[in-house]
Amino acid sequence: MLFSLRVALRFLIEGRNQSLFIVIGIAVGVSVIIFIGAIITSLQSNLIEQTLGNSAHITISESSDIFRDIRQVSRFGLIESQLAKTADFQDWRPVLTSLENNSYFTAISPVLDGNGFLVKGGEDTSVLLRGVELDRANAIYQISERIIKGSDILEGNQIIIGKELAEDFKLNPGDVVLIALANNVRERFSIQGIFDFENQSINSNWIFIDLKRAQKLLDKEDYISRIELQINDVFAADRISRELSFQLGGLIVENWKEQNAQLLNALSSQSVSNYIIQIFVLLAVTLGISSVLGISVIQRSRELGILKALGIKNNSARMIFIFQGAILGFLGALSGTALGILLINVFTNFVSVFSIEVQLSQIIFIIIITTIACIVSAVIPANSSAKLNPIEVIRNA
Amino acid sequence: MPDNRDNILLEAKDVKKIYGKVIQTVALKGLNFKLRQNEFITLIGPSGCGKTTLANILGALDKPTVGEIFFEGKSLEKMNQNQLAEFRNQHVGFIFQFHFLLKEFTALENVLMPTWIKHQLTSAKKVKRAKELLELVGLKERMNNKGNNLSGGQQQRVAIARSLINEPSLILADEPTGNLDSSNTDQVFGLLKKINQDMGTSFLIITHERHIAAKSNRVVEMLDGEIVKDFYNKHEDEDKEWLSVAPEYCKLCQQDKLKTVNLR
Repeated sequence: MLFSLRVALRFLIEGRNQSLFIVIGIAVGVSVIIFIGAIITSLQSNLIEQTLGNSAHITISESSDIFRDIRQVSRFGLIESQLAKTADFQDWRPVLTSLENNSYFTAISPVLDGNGFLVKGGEDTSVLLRGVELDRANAIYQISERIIKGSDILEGNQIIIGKELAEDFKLNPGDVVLIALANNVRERFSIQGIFDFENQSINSNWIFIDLKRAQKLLDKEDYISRIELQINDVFAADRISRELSFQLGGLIVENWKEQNAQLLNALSSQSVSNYIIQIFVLLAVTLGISSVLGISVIQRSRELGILKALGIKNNSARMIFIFQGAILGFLGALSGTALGILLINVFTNFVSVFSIEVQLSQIIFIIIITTIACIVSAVIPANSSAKLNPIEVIRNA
Repeated sequence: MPDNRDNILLEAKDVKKIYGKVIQTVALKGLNFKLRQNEFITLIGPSGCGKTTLANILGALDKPTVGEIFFEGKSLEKMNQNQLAEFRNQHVGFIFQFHFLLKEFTALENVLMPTWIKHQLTSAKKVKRAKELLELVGLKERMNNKGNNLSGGQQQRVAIARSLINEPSLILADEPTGNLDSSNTDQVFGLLKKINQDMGTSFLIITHERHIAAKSNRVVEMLDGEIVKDFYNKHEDEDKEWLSVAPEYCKLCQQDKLKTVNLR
């Protein structure tokens, strides 16, 4: 082994121009793999962040007996849409406690939603009154961080409204507005703060209010609409929601993946195309190395013949080329990583509007895979060097 | 005088070598040959008579089509490729017509190559020995020159030093002076002869040069894949002894009135 490594190194150093070309070839391939990989991963995480950053990943709600019946029917293809409708959720506190004992969840927030109309100066608009516990809701919606005017206090009849709604009705913190609720309750609320979620529909529709106050106003004391959850690994949402559904029996557990099937589809086809590009680049690199090493076996056949006459075993002859493949692959992968990171920096500084992140784990993975691919690509040349008959070489000198 | 038959190092029994499958060329026609310890043999004969084939088979670089080779009484036939490689590494030194150094390595490294193959690592003792051998071949000052920074004669002398490093019992040299001028030729042969005398290494040297053959103690002549003459130079004793080993060749020798031969 040591001997083969020594000869491999010397062959590479003495043929340094050739070695340099192979390393550059691998480096270009690897930099493309890293660059494309990083762009697509970052693009996806940007998209996911935009889609999921301010929404629940998993929601838990109560299903009424009627809907359970429909659910059974729906297995045969009927009335799928009614599944989304849920009953009010009363026994939510034990569920909340059991969720809090689970380390999956980064945010757990009970919500009671109610529809209403905001009325001002003869005009009105429909709004969604969202009763929340501010601390818990902040973990999902970062309401406090998104306040652009006023403060984030939610007590009694204090509310926080969105930027568009405030602009449409020329509202400012301290103003009082009338909201007509679905149960014929009309109540005056004082605007505490104005938020900007960078989403027009939320900004013109949502109104945050304290959960307890919402329960009282909507005549739903102790009830909530659902529990909203966020998790660390957003892609585990379906698995975790299945587990929850199993644990929580009759409750309806939904996750963002069901609700965003189209986005997921787009993301996964993007990932597939990314992998295909990466695999083909790697394949091209591998074939390139294989053919260059194959030629180098022929170039070195004289040396190999001498070494065999001097008594190296076939395996040692094989290892000389395996080592060359491994060394070239590793060096190529390292310099390719440097080149890839350089490309990414150029791209983020001059072209891109979103930030590109390079993950260390991904880079280590690529370096390992490239090195392995180069070792594999050396196998065929290595075998032909093992098969080389010293007599042929000596006779044809 | 000791019984030389006990000192047989290498023996070829009924060795045939046939090349090609469709068009067959018979390179060796079933020859018998014994090589004793400390012998300095020259193998002569016209081009294409099978000298190199015989040397390659004796050195386990090639396998006979029929027949067997025995080294110190053990047959090489049953050895696998790895065992044969080990055998070459430890017991045989090769010197080829085309000096065959590894041009990527220095003279010293080339000499050390067989020990690297044997031990993976270089011991200080072996490095010292390699330097001594380079000194013996008169190249101590050039030991750090790369293979391609040496003249033909120098490369050949490095190859000789390399063949000696693992202290093999046999050195097979295929026209070691084929590419050298006459002064270099004499120098190299003088060196080989000295090694034979000082270290007791056996030599089988293929050469076209009859005056070189004249300096060896046994001359084997081949023609068309057969040994046609095999005789000792000069000494009556050896000739008698040879009569007991290979009477048929001796008869030939007597017929040719080559009982004692001075080839010059």
